[in-house]
Amino acid sequence: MTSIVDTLVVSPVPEVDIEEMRVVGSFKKGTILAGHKTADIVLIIKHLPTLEDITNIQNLMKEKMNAQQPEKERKKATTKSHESGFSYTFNGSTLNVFVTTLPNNTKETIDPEKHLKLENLKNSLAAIRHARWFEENAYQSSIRILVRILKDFKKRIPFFKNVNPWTIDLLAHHAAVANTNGNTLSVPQVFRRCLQLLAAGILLPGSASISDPCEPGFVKAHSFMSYEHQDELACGAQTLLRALSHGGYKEILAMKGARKITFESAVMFDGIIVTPSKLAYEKPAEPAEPMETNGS
Amino acid sequence: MSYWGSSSAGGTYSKAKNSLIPGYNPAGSSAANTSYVTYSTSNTTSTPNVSYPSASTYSKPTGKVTYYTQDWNQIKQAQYKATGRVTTGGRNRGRGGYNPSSAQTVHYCEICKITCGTAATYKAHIDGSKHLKKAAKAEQGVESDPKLPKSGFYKCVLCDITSTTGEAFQAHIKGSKHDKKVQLHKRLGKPIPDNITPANPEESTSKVEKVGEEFVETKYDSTTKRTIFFCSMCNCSFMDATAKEFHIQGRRHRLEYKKRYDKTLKVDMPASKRQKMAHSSGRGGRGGYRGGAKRADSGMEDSSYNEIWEAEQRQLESEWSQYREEERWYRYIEGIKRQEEEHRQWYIQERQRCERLGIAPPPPPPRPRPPPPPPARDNSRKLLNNHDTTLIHTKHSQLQPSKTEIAELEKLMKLTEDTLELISEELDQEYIQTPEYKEWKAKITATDYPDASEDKAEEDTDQAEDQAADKAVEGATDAGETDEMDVEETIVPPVIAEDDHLVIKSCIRIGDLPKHSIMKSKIEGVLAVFCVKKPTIDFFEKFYMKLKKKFAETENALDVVLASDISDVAIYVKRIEPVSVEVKIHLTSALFREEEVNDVVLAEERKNRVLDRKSCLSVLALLRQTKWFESRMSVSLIVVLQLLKDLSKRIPAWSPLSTWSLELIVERCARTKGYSSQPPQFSPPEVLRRVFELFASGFLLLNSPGLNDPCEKEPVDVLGYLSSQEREDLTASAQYALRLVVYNQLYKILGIAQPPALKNLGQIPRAAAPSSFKQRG
Repeated sequence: MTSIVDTLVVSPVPEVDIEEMRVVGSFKKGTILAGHKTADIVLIIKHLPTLEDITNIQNLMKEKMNAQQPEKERKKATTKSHESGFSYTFNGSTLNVFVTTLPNNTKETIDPEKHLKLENLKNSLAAIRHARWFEENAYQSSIRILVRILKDFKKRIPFFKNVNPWTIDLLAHHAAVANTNGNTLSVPQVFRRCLQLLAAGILLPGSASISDPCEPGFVKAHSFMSYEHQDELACGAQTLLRALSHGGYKEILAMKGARKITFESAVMFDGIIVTPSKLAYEKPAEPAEPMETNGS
Repeated sequence: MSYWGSSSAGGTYSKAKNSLIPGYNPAGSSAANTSYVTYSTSNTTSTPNVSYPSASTYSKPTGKVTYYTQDWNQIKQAQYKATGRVTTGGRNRGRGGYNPSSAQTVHYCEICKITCGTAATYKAHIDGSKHLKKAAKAEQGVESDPKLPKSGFYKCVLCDITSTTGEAFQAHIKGSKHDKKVQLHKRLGKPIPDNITPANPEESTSKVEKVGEEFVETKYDSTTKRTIFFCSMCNCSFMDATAKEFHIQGRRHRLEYKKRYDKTLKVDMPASKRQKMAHSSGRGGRGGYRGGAKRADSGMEDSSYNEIWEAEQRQLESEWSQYREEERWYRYIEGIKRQEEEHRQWYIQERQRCERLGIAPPPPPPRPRPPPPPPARDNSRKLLNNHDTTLIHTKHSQLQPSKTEIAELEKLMKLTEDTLELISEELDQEYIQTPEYKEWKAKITATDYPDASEDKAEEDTDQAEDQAADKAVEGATDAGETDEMDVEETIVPPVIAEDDHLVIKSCIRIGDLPKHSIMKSKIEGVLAVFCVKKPTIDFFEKFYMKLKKKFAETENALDVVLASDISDVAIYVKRIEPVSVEVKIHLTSALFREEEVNDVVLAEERKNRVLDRKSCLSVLALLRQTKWFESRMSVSLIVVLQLLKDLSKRIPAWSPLSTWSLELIVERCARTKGYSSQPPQFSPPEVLRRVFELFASGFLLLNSPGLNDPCEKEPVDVLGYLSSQEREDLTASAQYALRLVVYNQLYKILGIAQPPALKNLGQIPRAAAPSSFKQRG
């Protein structure tokens, strides 16, 4: 997969005025999950990217990549365009290309039919900042491990489904580093602390929260999540925390041979301690959407 | 003058740039003081463009130059450095003392309506991307910003400012910025376009009626020698009267007024805001939390309740950012102090070393600069948690006993205390007759006792680690009836003053009454009677009989009912009419705690039939706890404590928590935040949320740090008695409660009816949700 990225970096597309190309996301941050063969790159071009531009780049890239592959394997490669760029899949691994422009250009008027959405452009730019920040600040291995664990949660546990990857990064960093001594904690400590923070509602409305270092001013780490999702996350973490403190490590981390953790019914942990209150945590998520207005 | 060198450098640069822009006629290379730019536009007001020699100049901040260098390639940057030097020179000159009579030039850019102080800045501007963009636009004949509406807006041609409302425009016209521009143009001898002549202020009076004008105070700022207006409601200040007027009619002010005083006031939403709200959806809405909140309530216009909630969230947010700021400042100061200290240490060492070697010592460290002032704190917290406060207040008033009930209790307490006093005297009289007393009396006259105060001082040092308890003891001394008495420590052998009681030392109120946290469900006062010796069962019975007799004798006899409970070492004085009140009297002695507990003592106690040791000790503990609590009392603490006590009655998961542990926990959560000298108190809703947060974070679970009892000598975990299952249930309940608090459903926790404002929202399955909490708890 690295080779794909490298090829793209060394073979710029001539028709479009490319300013810069940067690798972002989990591939860059070193927090990629096993089996998740995707690399994200951001392509900064000098003008506002049009939809046409994307098709051009896409085709050109396919051409160039194909040229490097042996004849019979060419058919395996596919490209697909999406909202903020396109993706190129080959041999099971995917290269996600996000196209954006220089920050100054985003102030210009955007024709919704011709150009990419401003929102997507900004997100792609933010991704660059995030990748850079993570590289500079979250080099400790315990942070990376925790990010992976949380990403795994995101995949497995429905309550964690809607967590933003960037929120995960920030949370992991906060849990590991933001203590009074400034020491980085060990992985078990960080993991437990992370769940504690979530359970205590660090990502709930009105909390102190974590301020986003990549945005000017005081932007909360969970401002991208809706109230409902914030509640789901806190609820899931609360259940996990209690399971964890009764020795449910294996179940939580879905180790081999461990029971599958359920959020529907009470589970006995440790033989002595019962955790019967698990079931009730399904319910709070449902009334806890006071901001929704289209009710009875 | 380095000016020239740079000028030529700039010239070549502008040439290079010029090739990109057609119609741009560079004059930089050939320019002297005159005609710096000749650039003609289709602008109506344009006159041949020259730089104007004038007596006045406006120095624009020159720091901006660096901004322009950002995007250029290296060669250009190198050329730019030269320009930068000149700029600095210019600035220095300006700073060194500006002489109006010297032939200064005004560099005025006609397109951008910008004045530059020096030629260099001007050049920088001309080459800057901003200017170039504008120039290109003007070249194409684009008159105005396409974003602006075609009509219905005001434009000040002079300052190139557009505004959509007449009032804003008027404000600009009257403003100092505009005034400066007009002055400049006058001096330059340029025509002033008609459309900017200030219109009659009467014309622009808005139709909206003014509200809340009384909040605007007029202040005089001694440093700037200007009058400023300060709106205490919105917490903002203005430099001139126009701005003040504008603010009063403005949306923010009206909204604030609406929220606080007049819910019926109509505040219209600007159209631009709605568009913005539509824009900021999803992750792109990087407006932070606000963006998210807006998203959630889009489509809801007139729910003032929601608006308030949103506003509260925002305020919370700003408070947190403020707190962060303070923290940063605090850390910074700490850093400075540490550095200074290190430096000082180093200097001392260095000096010693130099003295040893016989060389001249290094210069002393420079005087530390005064640290920057702490960030200003906004103490206007009136709005915060408004409806939660109301809910809590409602519930609290339900839990609190009425005034008459308190008065009745107070009456009974007084009576009981008086009676006890009488009994005490009686017992003294009896005691003096006994041979035991005479023997003892002879003994004290023979030996000299050390001064009591000395005694006390010793203790203080001993007890340094147990300050809270100590304090409690001191407090007890004050409250007690005898002078030299110290409840806890200095009793064996007591220094006897003439008026000292010999059998009963004192009688102190403990428990909920001095803590101000009596619940309506249990109106009870507790009195602790301290005996000089350990009270025995015989003594208890004798005491009880005497009390009974005395109550019967008392003239203004209230119809009281007495009861005794030997196992609990308590005598109950009950009164049912007009309201049911009760006073509980405990017998105890400070000796229980002082003595070393060993088999001999215990055996002796058994022999003498001393009252149950455990209950006597618990009374002593209660006294210390009462004193401790009294020293930390705050409104939030009491209110939240009452709420939690009520909660522990209603919800089984909370019942294992003792009152004392609740007190400790709530006190911990009610401690103030912030680093400023007088941090604001937490409001009750905040404290409540913090309590739930504490439990929710797994404070009781695995590796629990426990809760140290400040009123015990040895470390005691107040929560140690909780079983794992109890801990688990409590945590689960608190976690759910936390989310209820966060999501605006406090009424479910408090067990009160849904407030009407909430019903308007109508999205909560009302029947199911509260009961689920109760069932599960």
